[in-house]
Formats: sequence, structure tokens, C-alpha cells
Amino acid sequence: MVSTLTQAIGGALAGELAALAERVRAGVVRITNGRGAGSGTIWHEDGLIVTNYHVVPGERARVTLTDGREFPGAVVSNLPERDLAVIRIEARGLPALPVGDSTALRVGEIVMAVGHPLGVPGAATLGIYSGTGPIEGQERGGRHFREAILADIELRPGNSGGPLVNARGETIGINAMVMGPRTALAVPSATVVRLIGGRARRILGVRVEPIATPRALAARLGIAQEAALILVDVAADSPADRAGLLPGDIVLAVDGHAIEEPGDLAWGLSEAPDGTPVTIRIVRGGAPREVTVEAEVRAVATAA
Amino acid sequence: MSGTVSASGILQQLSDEMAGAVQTAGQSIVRINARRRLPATGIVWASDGNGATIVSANHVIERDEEITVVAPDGRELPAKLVGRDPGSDLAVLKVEGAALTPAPRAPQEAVRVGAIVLALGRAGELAATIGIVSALGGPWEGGRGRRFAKLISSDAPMFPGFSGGPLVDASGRVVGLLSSHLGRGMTLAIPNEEVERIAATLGTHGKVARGYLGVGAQPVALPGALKASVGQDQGLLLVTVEDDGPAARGGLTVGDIIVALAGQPTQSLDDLRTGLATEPVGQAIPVRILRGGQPTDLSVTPGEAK
Repeated sequence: MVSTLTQAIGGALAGELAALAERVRAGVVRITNGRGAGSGTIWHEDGLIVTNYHVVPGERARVTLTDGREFPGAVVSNLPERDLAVIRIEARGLPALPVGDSTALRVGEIVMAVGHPLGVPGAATLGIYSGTGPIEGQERGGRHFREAILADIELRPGNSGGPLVNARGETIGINAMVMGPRTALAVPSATVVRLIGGRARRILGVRVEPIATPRALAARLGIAQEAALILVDVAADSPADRAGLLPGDIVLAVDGHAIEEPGDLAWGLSEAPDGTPVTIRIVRGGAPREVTVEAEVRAVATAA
Repeated sequence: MSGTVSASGILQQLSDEMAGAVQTAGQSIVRINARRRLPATGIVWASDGNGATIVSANHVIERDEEITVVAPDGRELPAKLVGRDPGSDLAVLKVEGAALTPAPRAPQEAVRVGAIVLALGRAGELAATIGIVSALGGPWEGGRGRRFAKLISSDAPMFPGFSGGPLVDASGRVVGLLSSHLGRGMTLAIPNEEVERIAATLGTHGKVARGYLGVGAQPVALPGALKASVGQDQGLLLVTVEDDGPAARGGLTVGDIIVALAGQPTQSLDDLRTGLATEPVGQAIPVRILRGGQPTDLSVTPGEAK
């Protein structure tokens, strides 16, 4: 026997979910690049669209709005390490979704994904914010997901680039990868904010290789992390060069953030506020030291 | 009526309450380092002045020593293996001298099919998935000879490292303990009362002994008159009784039909196995038989299955 109260709550809940899906759907676009199709999220009413790098690995794409209008889009920024790309279309007054703060998410919060899974337009799926892992196989195809949102939500090919929203309808992530049945990863909105603000594109001018932290060194210096990066090249007159970094330096941390894999470097650099140099902890010749670097913002990376 | 249901914000309220439930339960969920690859999860089951008792899944405790538990506040504490039961895939650990927060538990009657539940793990940071109670099944025949009087099945997905963690209700109260070894890809949890019973046995004996009667039996249909007087359709006919075995010592003999063990009707071999798995070894339990058509009550003391 279902009480009147339960019916009222159930009805109201269903109504709110439907309204949420409807609102979000307006802010989701379809993106085609000639080879395949994905989804995109309207980030700003002035024509800024966010999607995955793997949806738009090139410089151009076609963008179709929910109302059927079609626009040519140009990639203005991207970050392959975080599977993000930002596209600009010549349009104004777009139904942008409000941007939420992914760092304020609580495990257990209700989240909804909207996109075009397998071409189904504007399909919504529901779940909760599950946490940040760890999930086995979190790196695939060179894309790094150290700072990813994990949700117990059903995604399919075609969902990529679409928004993951909270119960208020704020975008808290960009859906990026299907890990398994009801296991999905999204790029946090905080990462997108850093990319759009230019911070995520800071570079040092180095080439790195991942290494296992040498055991003797770790024991002697009391280093807990098991992996680090070693500099294999320092570009002439780059920020790293100017700061005196040398090939052979072992990078352990940037501004206190442990650096264990190549993708961590861009992330660590992007964490610093605008206009402040970063402090890099290295080991050189068996001795730890700290180096201060003024990172630069680099141009858009394009697919080779 | 409509005054009690606000026109908007129920979704947000539900979302907040879910996050609250995760937070509540999370205070009693620990990470367990006892295997080579991914850590697993444990539940703080009890805690007093002497330390905390943690329950987890047996299969994630790959070693007997050098086990550590990471408390919700990040402290890494050494833990001792109290006992393990491969039969139910449960293990009990003890953290000495540390007071942890015992998990609130939902009463059995609160666990109903359709209820919203969350599966929780702390292999890394605290993680959660949502679903409903899909079925309360039992008796359940798991792989590797596992038998459960009851298991809770859910459609909340289990992520790697969730084994040993809890399935909790919408208030964050534990309803059961998760193990990926109980069903292939299915989310299954051992109900609280079963965890409690096995944990108590492991606390006392370090292992769970499975009962043994020393009989061979087969189900038989009871003739009409007997069916009515006993109140069940089938019984178990003893076709062999081991000399000087527990059943023989209790006075059972070939030709007897067991109709109940410890007050529970035995209509199938499953019922007998469940009864033996549930009752403590070495204690006398009542057995009701039909001998020559007459109901007779005897007492048997199950031995330990080898």
C-alpha cells in the first residue's frame, strides 16, 4: 500500500528529475569531426563549448545545438593529458549550464549525465558521485585520470564530452570514459576552469620519463612516493632552463603535490594561482633541493 | 498533504541525505592492507577500551601477519588476524589499544526488497555506489561449497577493493558485508545477523566448524496422514548411519525420517546442510524424526566436518 505522502514525494521527485534532464539537455551539443560523433557542454553563452580531446583531436569540428542550429567550431584550447578540448562557435545567448565546484562534491551526491550515447539524442542517466578511485586500469590510451570523478553511472560511446551535473543542474564534470558497466570517469569542472583560465597550459620546457624512485635514495631521504620523473631534456631558454634545471634531475613534487607520472606535471603546474612561480622539489646528485620556476603558458596542442 | 512536500528541492534533499549517509557510514569504514595489489575494505564492528574489532572478507586477507588497517582519520594501525572462515568468506581482525567508531547497524526488518542502499569501499579514498535491494535470497548455494541461509543481493555496482565493505541503507546503517567472491559479478552481501554469528564464533574459536551428523539421507514424500500431522510434504529418509557417528550416538537409525532439526523443518538436503551450517558444533540440538509413522523427538550433538 503506497501512502499518499509517498506518492506525492515520488511524483515530485520524478518531476524534478524530468525538469533537471530537460534543463541540462538544452546545454548539450552534438559534435562531429568527420570520423565520429560525441557530445559537448555549453560552458558560456558567448559560444564556448567544452568536450573531450578524443572527440576533437584536430582543430575543427561541427557543432549542432539541441534546437537544430549547426555551427562550424574551432578548437581554441586543449589538454590531451586530461582529455579536454575547448571549442569556440560564433554564437551568442547560448543556454550555457551553470558551472559547479567539483572540489566541493561529497561522495553519495546524486549526479546525472546527459549526452548522445550511441547516437540517442539527449539521453539522461542517473547515479551518484562515487569518489576518486582507485580504479584499476585508470590510464588508457595515454590519457591520465589521476584527478577524475568516478560515478556509478551508465555511459556509452557518444556520451563523451557531455556534462555530468549535480542535483542543482551545475556542471561538475565532463564525461570522458566508460570503465565498465555503471562505472564512468569524468574530468572535474575544476580542471576545465584551469584550462579555460590558461593555468592548465603552463609548461616548463622539459621532456620527462617516469622512473621508480631509487630504493637507496628513498630510504636515505625518507621519500614515500614509489615513482617520480626524470628530466631527459631541457629546452634552451625555456622556463626550466632559466631556472637552472638540468637533464638527470629527478622531479619529486611541484608546490607540494607529488609528481609520479608525466600527467602529474601539468596538473601540479596548474594548481598554482596566476602570477606566482612554482617550487619544484628535485634530487640532483643524490641531494634534495628546491628550484623556483616561472612557468609559461604554451599554445594549443594539435594532433600530429 | 501537499504542504509537507515542498514544490522543489526534493532531489537536492535526497542528494544531501545520500552524501550524509556515506559520511556517517564512512566513520566506521577502514582500509585493509593485507594483500599484494589493491587494498580492500573493512567495517568497524565493535570497539571498547581494549581495542576495535574489524570484520572483512576472508579472500582479501592474503597474509596472516603484517596486516595494517587505515582508520578514517588516516592513522595506519597494526591489526591482528583473529580468525577466518573461508566457508562464508568472512574474517575478523583486532586493532589493539585503538578506539574506533563502530558501524551503526540496520535491524533485519528494515532490509526490504526495493529499499535504497549504497555499497561502500575504502581501497583508496572512500567510494560509494547506489542501488536498491534486489532480492533477499536464501538458502544460497555459493561457489566452493558456500551455503548461506540468506544473502542480500543489490544492483549497486561493486568497484575493485569494495570486498569487506558494507552495504548500507539510506541512513548509513550497515545492512550487510560485501564480498565479490560470493557471486560472479553480482553484488551480494552477508546479512548483519550472519556476520554477527560468524564473527562471534571466530572471536572464540578462530575458525568456524561445520556440523557433521554421519548420515546418508534422501528426501521422501510423506504419506497423506503423516503430511497433515507433521505439517510438511517431505522429510529426509536416513539410508545410511555411520557406526558410532554423531547421529548413531543420538539414537538415530536407518529408516528414520528426519522432519526437523533444531526446530527448523527439513524437507530437502539443503535444509539439513543449512541447519548443520547454522548450529554450533559440539552442542546438543533437538531432532524430530518419524519412526514407524510416529513422531519422536531425540537429541543429537553434531561433530565437526573434516
